[in-house]
Amino acid sequence: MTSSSPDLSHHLSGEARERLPNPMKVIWRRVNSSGRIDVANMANGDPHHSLYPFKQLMFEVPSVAEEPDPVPAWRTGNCPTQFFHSYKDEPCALSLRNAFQYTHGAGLPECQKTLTDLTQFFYAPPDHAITLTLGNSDGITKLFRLLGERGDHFLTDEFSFPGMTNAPLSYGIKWVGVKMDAGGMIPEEMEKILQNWNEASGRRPHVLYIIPVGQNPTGTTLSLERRQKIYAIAQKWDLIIIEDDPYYFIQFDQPPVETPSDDQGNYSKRFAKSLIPTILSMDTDGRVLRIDSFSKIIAPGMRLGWITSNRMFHDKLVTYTDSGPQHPHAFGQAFVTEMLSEKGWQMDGFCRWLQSLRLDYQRRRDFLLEVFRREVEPTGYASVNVPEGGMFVWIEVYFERHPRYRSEPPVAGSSTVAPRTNVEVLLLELLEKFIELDVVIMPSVLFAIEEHPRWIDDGARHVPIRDRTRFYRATFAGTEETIEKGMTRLGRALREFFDGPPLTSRL
Amino acid sequence: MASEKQSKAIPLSHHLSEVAKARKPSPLKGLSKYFKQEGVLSLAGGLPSPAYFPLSGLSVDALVSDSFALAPTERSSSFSWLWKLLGSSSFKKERTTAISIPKYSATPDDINLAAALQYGAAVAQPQLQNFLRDFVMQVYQPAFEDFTVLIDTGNTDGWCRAFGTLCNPGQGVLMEEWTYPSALASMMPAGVDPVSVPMDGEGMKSDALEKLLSEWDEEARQMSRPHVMYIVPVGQNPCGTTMGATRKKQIYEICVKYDIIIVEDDPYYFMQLGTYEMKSQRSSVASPVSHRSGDEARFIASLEPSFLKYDYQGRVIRLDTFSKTIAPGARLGFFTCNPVFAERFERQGETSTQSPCGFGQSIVTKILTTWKYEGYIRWLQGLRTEYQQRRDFFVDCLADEFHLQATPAVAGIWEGCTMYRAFSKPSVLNTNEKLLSQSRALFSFIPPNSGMFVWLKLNLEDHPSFTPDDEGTLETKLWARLAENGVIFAPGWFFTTDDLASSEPSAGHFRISYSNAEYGDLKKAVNIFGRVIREFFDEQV
Repeated sequence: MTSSSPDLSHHLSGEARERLPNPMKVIWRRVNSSGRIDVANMANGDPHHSLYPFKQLMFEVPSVAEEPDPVPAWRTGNCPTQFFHSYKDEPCALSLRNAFQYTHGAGLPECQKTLTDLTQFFYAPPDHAITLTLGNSDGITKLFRLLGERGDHFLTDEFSFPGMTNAPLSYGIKWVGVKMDAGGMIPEEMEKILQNWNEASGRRPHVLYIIPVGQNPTGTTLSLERRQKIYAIAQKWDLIIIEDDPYYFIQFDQPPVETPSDDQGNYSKRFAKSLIPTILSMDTDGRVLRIDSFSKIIAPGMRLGWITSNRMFHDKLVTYTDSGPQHPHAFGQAFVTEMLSEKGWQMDGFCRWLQSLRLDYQRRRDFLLEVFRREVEPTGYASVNVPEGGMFVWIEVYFERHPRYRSEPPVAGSSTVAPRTNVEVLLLELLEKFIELDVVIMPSVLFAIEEHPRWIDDGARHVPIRDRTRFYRATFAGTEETIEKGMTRLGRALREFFDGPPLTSRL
Repeated sequence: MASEKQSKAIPLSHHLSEVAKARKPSPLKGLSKYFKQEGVLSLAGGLPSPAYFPLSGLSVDALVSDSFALAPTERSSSFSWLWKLLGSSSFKKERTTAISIPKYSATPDDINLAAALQYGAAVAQPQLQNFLRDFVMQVYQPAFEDFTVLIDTGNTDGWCRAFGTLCNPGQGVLMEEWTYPSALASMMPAGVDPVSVPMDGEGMKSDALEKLLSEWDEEARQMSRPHVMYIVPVGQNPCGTTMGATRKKQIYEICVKYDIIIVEDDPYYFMQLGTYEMKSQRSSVASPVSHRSGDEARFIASLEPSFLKYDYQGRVIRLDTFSKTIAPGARLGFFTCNPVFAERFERQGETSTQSPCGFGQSIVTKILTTWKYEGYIRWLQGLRTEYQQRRDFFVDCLADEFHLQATPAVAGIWEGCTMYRAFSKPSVLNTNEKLLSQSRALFSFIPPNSGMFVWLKLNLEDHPSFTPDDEGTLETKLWARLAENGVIFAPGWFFTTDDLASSEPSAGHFRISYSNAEYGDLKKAVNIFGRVIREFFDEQV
């Protein structure tokens, strides 16, 4: 951080503050940073590399330089291939000799350098360091432990991904949902919560968790203006922002990446320009902890990602990793280091893959929307949003048009968060109908953050979230056949649910 | 064990921590039962199609399972280190086989990248799970029936999940008085403290354990009686000691009596190297040992048993790792424990490390299934021989550099072992025995019979600047002096669980690893150590 950056160490949990560096790893770093090559390090229990049972790894991958739009060709088995090689005894970007030794929590230096360059290239954060992770769940769990104290409240979207929001619950952290609209989290609503916070319910939230692109589950993407507002509010109220962004490279509706033939080598720069600025890129204070992952752009089972943060948080993350789950595996680090090296795809090839990938997802999104408009919309019982990124659409169902829909006016003195309609009941009944017709989509009730009357200020006008869980999350990551059949069944299920069974079966 | 009727694990869920009890399965997984319904179309998950994974195959040049000899192939020459240096791997042609993992396999029984690189449950790929279950059954022979095998990202991850699942803040864990520092560093910030148990030449002492537990005073200790034990029974880290069957049974029965869960962290299990013999006494025959049928079973039978073998109640959580048998960077290991604990470990894995890396799982699985059980045991035998040679070579270097005197240890952490005291070597001109007897012992050690480390006790009370209770300062000074000269050992203070209760109050220690350095560097490091320690003992610091 620059000298004017604020000290943010008060955000650390007691556990994170108490954690001392693992002494074994301190020695490891001291030896490695000494620059001496004649040091005999006999402190660690590392096997000699001649005892590893492999000499070479070869990853067969698409040859992205040879195909203008490699992803569709690859999916259908029509793309030429190339190899990334990792060797133990021959030169390569990350020698298996180094890769398979114990290392320290930030990751192998070669891979860390590769990902630092990548982070710099796409996000150009003011002054940050990167720490490798085993993907986003590992990253987020570490950040929750780093920042969270039993009894804390964290802010997030009112519909959020339970795989993540469940993680800190067992450590005694609670969530406060911020209202959303078609553009994702509403910054003014977040500020209201902070402003009206009553310290009697615990300390004011100091952490915000968001998925800014293709939000899971709503598929919304935060505009640049909202990002700036959210960052300004974070500065004003001293919030740490966890920017969880697995779909960042899957942004839609961007102009094609044109590359004049005399401008070879700049493909990646043009691609990067088409992406919306991250909140990290605005982070002059060092209050953003950004989480990236290869899960959606390479493969989830590789289990590799990284956190970008200010150096103080970086040091704490490394300390935690050194004494806990340890550094990530070498296999994935070898793969990405070779991928981005001179002998691999390099940044240009990587961006060709990403561009082609996002176009492919975009075509799938468009296909889903097309089938939806044909099969579901005409029922008059549901509509769908048009996500600007990610893998999900958010389908809204008009339960008020159902014959059994019930609604009661608010009763003075009753809880502001108690449901006054039967939307939740109908939502689950409709889910049963879907399953009966052999199609599964996720009901919004699974994603809704539970409300508490204490942080609802406009009680009279407030519509409880339990009356607003009128959505289903559907993915367009599946095959066209799945989408076509799934949406058709969805349309039929809605008709049967709202209008009763078809006449034939009533006879 | 075949004739005995095995029983299932007894109910032990009262050992679970508050956090572990509060952990819920991911609600999305609740819907997953519908996904398996015939004909169901799922638009529910967020799984990318494997068609998008930019990998169509992964090939590995894997070493053959009999790459390393069954017995040391050493030549008894004073230049053996030079010979080993020249004979080291870089000059030897390694024999390899090409193995490959396709993206899609012909049958689902074969490991494939489409499955291994997808999101998965925090358990192993089925092929790996089957291999490991069979391996555990044959090698460790658990005494309870319903043992479960679950993979993790190595033993530190395993230990973190174990204490997180078993211990609440303010509780204590029984540990050997010297122990693995990462085990301490991970649990102490979570408010879980070590409770030190004295050791002898076999590791944790059973009589001391019984005494500690029977006399436990919650008031005085400000802590409830510990219900969890962490122990490294083979190639104990750092002391290098190994616990035999009798002691293990005694400790197990004490744990039954006091209802204690045993976490057996056992990375060096297959590095049971046997007793060190001085070079002059070792057989100098370098005849190659050829493989005979039944060798695998004999090898397994020659190893000290795991706690699992006596675990008729399911109270042992065994931690195994591939870090020492494949490579540390594989970050792959596995638990063996009762199904109730395994389920909680899996929940914990779901929200943290998830399943270990798919590349690693598929490569390790493919290597293991190519080698088969017998081949893997053969590989482990070869590794043991390699480490035996390294241990012997390193101790030989110490014997070349110092004058070593063997004496039986009668007390302390080496009680019952042959201890070597190291003196400055008399100069060539002065070999007078009388002068030697007047010279100082610089340090003492026992050559380890397992593992990767020599634990060395410095004889600091003979140092000119010695003041009682200040050994740490001298240890650190000597450590720094060695580091300046290019030799890094692990200093003893890393490994202590309890400064005050230690039975070795007046000693500094180093833990020296002979596992990684080239043979020539081991030799060089011992020469430097000799020079530096002699100078150090000659001066006021």
